[in-house]
Amino acid sequence: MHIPDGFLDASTCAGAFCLAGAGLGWAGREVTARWNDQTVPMLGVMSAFVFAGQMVNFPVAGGTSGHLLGGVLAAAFLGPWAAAMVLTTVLVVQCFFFQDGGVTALGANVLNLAIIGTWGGYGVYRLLSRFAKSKRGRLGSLAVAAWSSVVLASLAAGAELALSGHVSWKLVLPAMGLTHAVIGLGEAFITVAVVAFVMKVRSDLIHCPGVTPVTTAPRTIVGYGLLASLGVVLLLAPLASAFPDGLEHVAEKLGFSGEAAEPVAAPMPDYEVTGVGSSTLSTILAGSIGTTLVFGVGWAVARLAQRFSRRSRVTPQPEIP
Amino acid sequence: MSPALRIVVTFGGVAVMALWPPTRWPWQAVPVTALALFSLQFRLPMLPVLRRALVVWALAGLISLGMLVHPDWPLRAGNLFLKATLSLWALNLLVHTTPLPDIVAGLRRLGVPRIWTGSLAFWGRYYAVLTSEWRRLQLARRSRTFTRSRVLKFRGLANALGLLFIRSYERAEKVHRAMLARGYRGEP
Repeated sequence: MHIPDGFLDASTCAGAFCLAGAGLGWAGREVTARWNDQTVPMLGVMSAFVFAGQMVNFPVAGGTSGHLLGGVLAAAFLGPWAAAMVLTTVLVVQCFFFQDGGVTALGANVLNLAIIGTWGGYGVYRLLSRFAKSKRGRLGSLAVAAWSSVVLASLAAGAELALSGHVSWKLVLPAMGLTHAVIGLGEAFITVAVVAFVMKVRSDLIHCPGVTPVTTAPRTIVGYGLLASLGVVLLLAPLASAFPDGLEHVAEKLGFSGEAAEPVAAPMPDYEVTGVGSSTLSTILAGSIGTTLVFGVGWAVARLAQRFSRRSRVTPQPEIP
Repeated sequence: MSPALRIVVTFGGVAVMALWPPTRWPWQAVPVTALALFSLQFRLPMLPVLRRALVVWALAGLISLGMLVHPDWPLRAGNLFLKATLSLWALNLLVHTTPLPDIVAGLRRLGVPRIWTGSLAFWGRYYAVLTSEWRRLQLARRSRTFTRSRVLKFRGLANALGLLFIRSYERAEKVHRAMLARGYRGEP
C-alpha cells in the first residue's frame, strides 16, 4: 500500500521529489553506462517482471498470504541502480493505472521504496557479505538485506507522515517499524529462495558489483548535489526548532543576552526571509539560499586553490563542455 | 484533447486539489463537479473506482486514528478521505479515456526522458506476456507436483518465480537483438 494523495504536505512532497529525482538521475547515468542501447528493453521487461512478481501470493504462516516488494531481489540480479529504476517504473504504473499511491506522493513513494528501501537493503547486503563470503553467508546477508529494505522503507514513509504533521513521531515510527518487521520476514524468505534457485541454474545472471567506467562532468555532479540538498532542506524544514540554541539559552539564563551587538545589515536574520508570509516557506527559502551561497563560496575557494596549486599548473584541467 | 494536455490537466488538477489548504475545503466542490461531468461524458464505470476507494479508505481510516490527538481532527480526517478519493477518481478517468500508447506519447511530448517513456512502453507491451507466462508456470507446477508440505509448496513457488526471472531476462536480450536486427541503434 503506497501513500495516497492528500496525506503529505507540500514541502514534504516537494522535498521527496527532489531527492528521488536526484537519486534516479544518478542511477540513470550508471545504468546507461552499463547497458548502452540495451537499457530501455532491459528496464522495461524487468519492470514487467517485478510487476508480475509483486502480484504473486506467497502463502505465509497461518493462512495469510504475503506479497513481494522486490527491491533487494531486483538489486541482486540487476544491481542497485537498475533496480531503483525498475521499481520506479513499477510504482509509476501502479500510481497511474491502478491508483495505488497518489500523484503528489509519487516522489515520496519512489523515495521510500525504490531508493531508501532498495539501496538501504543493498547496502546492508554489501556490508554483511563482506564478512560472510561463503554461498550460505551471502544468502544469509541477502535475507537480512531484504528484511531491512522493508523496514527502512516503512520507517521512511512513517517519517514523511510525521513531517507532514499528521501523526506524532512516537506513534508512527514504532507502529510502522514493528508491523513491517514482521512483513519483512516474508520478503526475506522469498528473496533468498528465488536467488538461491537462480544461483543454481544461471549463476551468471547474479549481479557482480564491478566497476562500470562512467565519466561525469562536474556540472552534472553539482546539479544532482544541489537538487539533493534542496530536497533535504524541503523535507527537514518542519524540524527547524524555534527554541534558542545552547549559547542563546545560557545567555538568557545568566542575563547577558542583552549585551549582544546587532549584526550589521544581516539580510536574513534568524533564518527568516522578510516579506514572506508563511514561516515554514520563509525558513525553506532561507535554507535554500544559504545552501547555494555556501556551495558558491566553497566552489570559488576550490577554484582559487586549484589555480594556485603547483600540480594544476603542470596539468591544466580541460574545460568539459 | 491531446494526451499531453490531458496529462497536464489531470496531474495539475490533482496537485492543486491535494495541496489545497484543509480549511478551505468547500472549494473542493469545483473538482468534484468537474470530475462528475467528465465521468458522465466519458461514461466512466464507477464500480472499479469504488473498489479502489475502499482500499484507500481503509488506509485513511488507520491514519485518522493516529490523528485523534489533534483538536481539528474531523477537518483533517475528512480532508484525508476526500483528497485521496478525488485523486483516485481523476486518475481513473485519465486512464479510462487515454490508452497507454497515447499516455507514453503525451509524456514524451511533455519532455519526459526517453529512458522513462521507453520503460513504460515496454512495461505495457510485456506485462501481459509475463503474467500469462506466470500463469502457465503455475499450471504446470500444479499439474506436476502433489505435495502437502507447505515448505515444498513455497519452494516450488519461489523456484517458479526464479524461472520467470531467467525467462524474462533472456526475453529482454532477445528483444534487444531483434531490435538491432531491425535497425535500432540506441536513442538518437
